[in-house]
Amino acid sequence: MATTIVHAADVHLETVFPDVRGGSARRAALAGAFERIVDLALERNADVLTIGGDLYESERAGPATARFLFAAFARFGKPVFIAPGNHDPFVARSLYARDDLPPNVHVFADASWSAVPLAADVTLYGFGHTPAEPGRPFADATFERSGARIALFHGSDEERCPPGKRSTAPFTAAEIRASGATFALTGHYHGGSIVSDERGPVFAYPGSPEPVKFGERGDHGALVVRVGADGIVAVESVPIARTRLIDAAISLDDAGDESSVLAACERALGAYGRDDYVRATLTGTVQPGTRVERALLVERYGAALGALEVIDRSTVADYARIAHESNVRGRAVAELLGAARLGDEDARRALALVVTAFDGGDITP
Amino acid sequence: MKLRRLTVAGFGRLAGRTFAFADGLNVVYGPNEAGKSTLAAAIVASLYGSGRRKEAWRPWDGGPYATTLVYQLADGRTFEVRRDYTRDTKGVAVYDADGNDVAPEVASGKTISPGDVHLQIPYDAFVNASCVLQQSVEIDPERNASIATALARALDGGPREDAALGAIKRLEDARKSFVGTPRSTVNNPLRIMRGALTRRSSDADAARAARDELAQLRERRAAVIDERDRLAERLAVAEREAKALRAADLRARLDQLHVYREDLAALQAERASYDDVATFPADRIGALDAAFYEWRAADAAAAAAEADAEAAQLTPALRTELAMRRADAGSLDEIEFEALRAAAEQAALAQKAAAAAANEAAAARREGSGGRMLAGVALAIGAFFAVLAVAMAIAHWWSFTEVFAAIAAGALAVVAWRSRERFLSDRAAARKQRAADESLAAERTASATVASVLERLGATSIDDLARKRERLGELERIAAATERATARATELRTAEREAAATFDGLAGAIVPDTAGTRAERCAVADDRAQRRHKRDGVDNGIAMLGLQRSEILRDDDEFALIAERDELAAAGIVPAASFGRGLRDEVDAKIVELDRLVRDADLAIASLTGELNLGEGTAADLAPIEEDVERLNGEIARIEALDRALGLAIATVERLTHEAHQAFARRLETYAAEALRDVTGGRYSEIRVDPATLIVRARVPETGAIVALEALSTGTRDQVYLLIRIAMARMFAEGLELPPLLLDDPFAFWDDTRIERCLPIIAHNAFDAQTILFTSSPELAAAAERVGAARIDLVTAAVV
Repeated sequence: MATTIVHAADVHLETVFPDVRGGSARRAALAGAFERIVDLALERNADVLTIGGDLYESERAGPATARFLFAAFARFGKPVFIAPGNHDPFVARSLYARDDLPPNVHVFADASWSAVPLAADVTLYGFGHTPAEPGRPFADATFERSGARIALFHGSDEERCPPGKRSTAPFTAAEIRASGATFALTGHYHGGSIVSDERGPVFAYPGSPEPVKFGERGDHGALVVRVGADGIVAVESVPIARTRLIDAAISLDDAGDESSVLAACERALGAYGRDDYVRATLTGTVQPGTRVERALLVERYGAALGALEVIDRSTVADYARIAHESNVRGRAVAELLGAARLGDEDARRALALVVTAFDGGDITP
Repeated sequence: MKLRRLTVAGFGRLAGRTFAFADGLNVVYGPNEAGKSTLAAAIVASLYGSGRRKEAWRPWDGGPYATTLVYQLADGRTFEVRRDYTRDTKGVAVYDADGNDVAPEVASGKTISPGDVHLQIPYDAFVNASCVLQQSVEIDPERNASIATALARALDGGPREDAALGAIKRLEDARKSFVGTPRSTVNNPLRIMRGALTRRSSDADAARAARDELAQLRERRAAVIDERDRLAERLAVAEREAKALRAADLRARLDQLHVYREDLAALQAERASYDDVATFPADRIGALDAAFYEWRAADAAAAAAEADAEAAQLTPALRTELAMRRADAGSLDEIEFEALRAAAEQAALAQKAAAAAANEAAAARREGSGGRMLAGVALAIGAFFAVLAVAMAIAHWWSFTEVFAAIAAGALAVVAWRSRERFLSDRAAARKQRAADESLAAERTASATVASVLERLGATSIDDLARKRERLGELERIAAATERATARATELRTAEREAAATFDGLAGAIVPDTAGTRAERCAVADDRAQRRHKRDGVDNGIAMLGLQRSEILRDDDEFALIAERDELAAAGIVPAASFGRGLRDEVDAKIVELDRLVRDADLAIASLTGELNLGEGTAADLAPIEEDVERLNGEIARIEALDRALGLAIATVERLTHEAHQAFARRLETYAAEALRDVTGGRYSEIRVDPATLIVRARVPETGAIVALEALSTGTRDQVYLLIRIAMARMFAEGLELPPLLLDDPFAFWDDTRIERCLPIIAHNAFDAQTILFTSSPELAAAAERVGAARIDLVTAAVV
């Protein structure tokens, strides 16, 4: 008889979102995504629900987080297996160590493999994070039980590491095969992916059920894994996310007045809606005297979005011309422009301030 | 700025005059006291107001004190300034070419000051740079800084309307508004943001601390729960132990009940064997036995008494002797005998007394006598009655005996008294004699009486009689004993019969069906009684068993005990090997203590749970707080970046402005040096100007040293200052309106040659900066005209 596993990871409940407004709504979206994962597990009549780590942020998780998770686990009712990750390591005071943890939840509390039979011919091997860096989880790992051997852990695929992502519990597909594991359910990378070789699926990331940071690529959802009676593993990626984190570059080239700026922003942001959290970067060169007011743009266009953050990288036109003036303004612009071109951010900001000040315009932050 | 027309209604010595000025060089000629300086001052006052010199220029005649100046700016705009100096600020009106009141546009603070606004040169700078008033060519050193500043402002670059100072001010204002200053406490966004960050960070710390406290509380509760579970386990063990003891107790008690039932059955069977005596009145057997024993004792006593009585019977001889003694010695009772004995003794005494008395009488007779007769009579009476008394006593005439005895006693007493008296007093002798006689007589009488009684009784003497009496007594005693024995025997027999009757009655009631001897019947009764007692004993045994059962069951029901035993057995409780009250008490005490500890632990758990629930229910979410902290950090970083950018902008502009000022000073030096070389014929060609203080120094050709102007001649010094003023005026023009140059007799210490050399320079400068030269020298006026100056004669006040 086949065994159905629904696997999720990197929910990151209680994450803070300092780079975009609407943090409370984002956190609510993460919680809603986890509820949908439990709904998926119930719909698919899953035998077990597995979590590949980073279910919550341990520095901020509190009683409300526990109440939410425990209610969700109890609602599923069937066995839940959790391999803690680097953001929710197993410690004495973690939510996983509480005495009111529902009885259907099993936590792999040690940074070593332990086996739990799921069915007659299906064994789940779990590896959990503690505060100390666990090292390579598949080094010297040997899974020998008969039937299908499913590994559950939180780690970094060394061969496909996203840029800027911190490595923890590194592994390779070859190490998984060498250990004897039939298939590995993992977490850590927020973009979902299924890695296979000639023998079939080797391991899979479900991706975070909702995007957590800007720039994440890949699926955001959960995995439905079916382990057949013959031990063959079939993996299906199911999208869960309802929100998007959008980095939008809005060009203000040649905008001569505020209405031009507003129009450019409206064109760029019109495609997005309430489920989109947009970080808009204004670029290009505007005409002198053109007001670019971030607070106004957020107020006008942010209401239609989940949240809007505006970063102004635009420049006032023709610094080069002003730099040729033989007066104090010209010399000041020339000096600051030179420094800005070398990457001095303070000089870049000072440049716009000087021009605005000499123009007699209102200096706004 | 070009001055077009000045109308003086009254200013100093000038009144009702109108002066029109030409572009370029104007020369105002007039003799001393004509009003040249007054006119220059009126121009300055029209542009800047009268200031502190208001009273200096008030017309002496009390007439109007007012001027009207019309001027034109470089952009073509024309303005008219009307000042009534008597009304201060209320007396100022400024109109544009269309007649519009534009006074607010030329206000500098509360002052209407076209000079400040349109020339952008403060009063001090104007007076020291553009004016040479009353031959004061030298620049006031105290004003140098303001002039330098004004020049710097004028030269700070950009289009005319753009000023670095204004830019710096806007930057600084922006810094104040969006960053704040170190001293500002109210509008200080950076400080406010940092304060908010501190508060929010505290909130985050508090939320973390609260979360840690909750974790500790949970750990404490878990520890208490563990302890409670351990206590509960120990309690369960103790309860099992108590149940084991209880099971053992139940087993023992039920075993005891089993034994009881067996014993009861045995006793009941035994009791049944005594059913024949069920109604036997065993309670009366005691009475029967008592009656029997009483009868038997009575019978035995009667038999014994009868034997004693038989044994105590008098022999015939004794009987005979008794009769004899009764007849003789028994005829006197004790009193009679004692009386008789007394009489005998009396006789003996009387005999002795008689003898004595005789002797005494003899003696008394010898002594005397008196009352012998009476004494003798009394004595005789006494003796007589004494005898009578005895006789009466013998005759059992007791009353007489008493009377006679009393009489005798009395008589004897009288005798004694009388005798004593008589005998003592008078008839002692007679008494004595009589006494003797009487005694003798008494003795004789008594002796006779006694003898008669003795004879009658057959006694030889009183002693004999006494012996007989004693024998009689003895025989009487024997006889009495015999009688008593007999009587006793009779009595006892009677008692025996009564006892027998009693017994028979009882036996008839108790064992009516039994015949035989009393002993036999009694034995039967006893036997039945014993059997009845045994039956009673069995009943007692049964009752004791009942008590035992009660003790075993106490307040429990046997079926309940059985059910409890079965229940304990079903629960797997094995009865304890040993049990006892002490052990049970010990276990019960342990259970009580453990139960108390468990309940205390439950209370503690409930309290901790309540505290935990309350804490968790009110715990703040940390994520929004930390998000605020990060956002505030971001805001602060942005403000600090803005602050750095503003600081860099301000510093850059200030530095470049300073550099421009430095350049201005070099330019001032260059221009003034060129002009000075021309004016001095090449003698002085190099000067140094401090851009901040405008202190001027020149190189002296003789020594090559650069010296202060004070080291030079007055004329040379004035020349230098005049050229500096002209240079400054030109440089003002580079950034702002060209101010008019007012030179009031500047060549006081100049020689004609130098004047000739300077005039062209002034005239050339006047092409750009309108210059008004005031002089009292007709030659200078003519020279000025020759270089193109428009002449104004103060006398005619008309442009010539």
